[in-house]
Amino acid sequence: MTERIEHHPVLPEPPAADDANFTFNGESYVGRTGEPVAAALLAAGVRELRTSPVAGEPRGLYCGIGHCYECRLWLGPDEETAERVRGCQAPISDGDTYRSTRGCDS
Amino acid sequence: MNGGAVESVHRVDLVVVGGGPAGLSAAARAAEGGLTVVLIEENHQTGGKLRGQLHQENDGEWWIGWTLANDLLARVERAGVRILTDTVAWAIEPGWVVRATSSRGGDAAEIHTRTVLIATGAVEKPMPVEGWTLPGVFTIGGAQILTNTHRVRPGARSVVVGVDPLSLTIARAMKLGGVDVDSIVLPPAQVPDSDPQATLKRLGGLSKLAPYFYMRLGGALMAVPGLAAIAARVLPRSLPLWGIPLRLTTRLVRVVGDDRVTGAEVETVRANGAAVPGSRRVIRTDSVCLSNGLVPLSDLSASLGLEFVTSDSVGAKVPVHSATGATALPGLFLAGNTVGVESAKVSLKQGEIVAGEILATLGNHPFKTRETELGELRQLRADSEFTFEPAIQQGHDEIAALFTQRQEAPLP
Repeated sequence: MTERIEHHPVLPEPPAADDANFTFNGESYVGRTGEPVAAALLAAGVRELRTSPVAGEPRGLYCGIGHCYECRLWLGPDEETAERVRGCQAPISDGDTYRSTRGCDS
Repeated sequence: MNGGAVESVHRVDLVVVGGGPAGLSAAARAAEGGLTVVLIEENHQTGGKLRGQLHQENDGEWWIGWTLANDLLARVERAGVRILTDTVAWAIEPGWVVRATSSRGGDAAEIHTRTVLIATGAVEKPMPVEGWTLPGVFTIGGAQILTNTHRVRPGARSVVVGVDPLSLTIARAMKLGGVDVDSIVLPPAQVPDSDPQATLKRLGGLSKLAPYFYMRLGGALMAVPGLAAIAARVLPRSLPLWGIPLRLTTRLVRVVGDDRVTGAEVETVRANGAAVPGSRRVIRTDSVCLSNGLVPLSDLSASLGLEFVTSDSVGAKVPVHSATGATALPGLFLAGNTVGVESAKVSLKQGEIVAGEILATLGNHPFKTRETELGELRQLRADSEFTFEPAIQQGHDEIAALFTQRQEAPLP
């Protein structure tokens, strides 16, 4: 399933972007280089990005402008050196590895 | 883009924090006037909320923020502005130093500069309601960015909650983007002044939006005292706006779903907001977009200890500043939605004006057209198709007067 808008009736086409292969929680996805990882995941039907620290409830992209931090993820293959990023901001590069923040590690 | 690392920069004339309409236009004019300028934008693309805007003007022409943002970016690039996208400015220190880091993490860098412009825009006010943390609930601005900037639908279907200039125009943009917008409904009962009568009164602010026939009707009705209640009583249950049902007698009760949105429970309300017993029902949807207005983002200003003033006319608590965006701290300037929520047209003009002031402050060019340009800003406000606060010009005049007063007699 994809929710990408391929041909908009009014807006001009965005510039062409190379495919970016990335993983999220071990699953492989293809996004467009430079788009936020949360947008690429939403286009692939993935809405749950992390779980909340207290009750472990699912959370997804909410504000889209980097303000609410509900979409925060780990970026990087190595748990020791992974960086916390906001899914609505972090631009995808080919080969990126993302992982949900879970509970108290978020 | 900077590739995920920010290096330290010594020493520029101006750092602009925020690459939306105000920041871009300020950066362009300042650089065209001979200043060395660094522009910091936390997103991957510049343009801010301008980039996602899409609506028809009163003359029927489309306002396509995407194109306007690209044109402005081209001007900024031609002027030689150094643009750092994917970069977060997280501290500003007097003197001036701007501390920044990459949106993808990494080491912090510092940029030394003679002046700083804070143009961080506004953020949305939350609308807490049962189920609002479920994946599939978005702010209306988040839905706008997804649809018009990232070109991804927030959902196959959507219920838009909240009736204001943003929600109505973005609902239409979502429909243009192929989202099946079920309806636009009122916010839950706990949101102040959200009953049909109060909503109808507020719609008066939209009365200049020509395509909104019913909005114009509402605006005209509201000009006659006492008619608000009558109008609300005779409101039809559904008004078609570009084929989207605007339901002024339906309000959200809660968002439904276990691990993601599956529906929106709504109820029918009377003109005064009283619920009609037995009217609750669930609309099946995979997304719900909440619109509760905007508030200036001013944390960087607050961190610098600027005096703030609450202005009902501006509709926000904002730093005391001059008509051209100067603050009590020499070299620190403000422009755009960080000093009050207005349309992008106003922000673009504010950016031009503050750049004129910065050029004058640094001795590059006298600001000979200051009064003319402030007059043009006034006219833009008067003609604005998007009025969030009808008395905002008066509010800005009062704040500018307070700034002058403080310059003459500073607080102890």
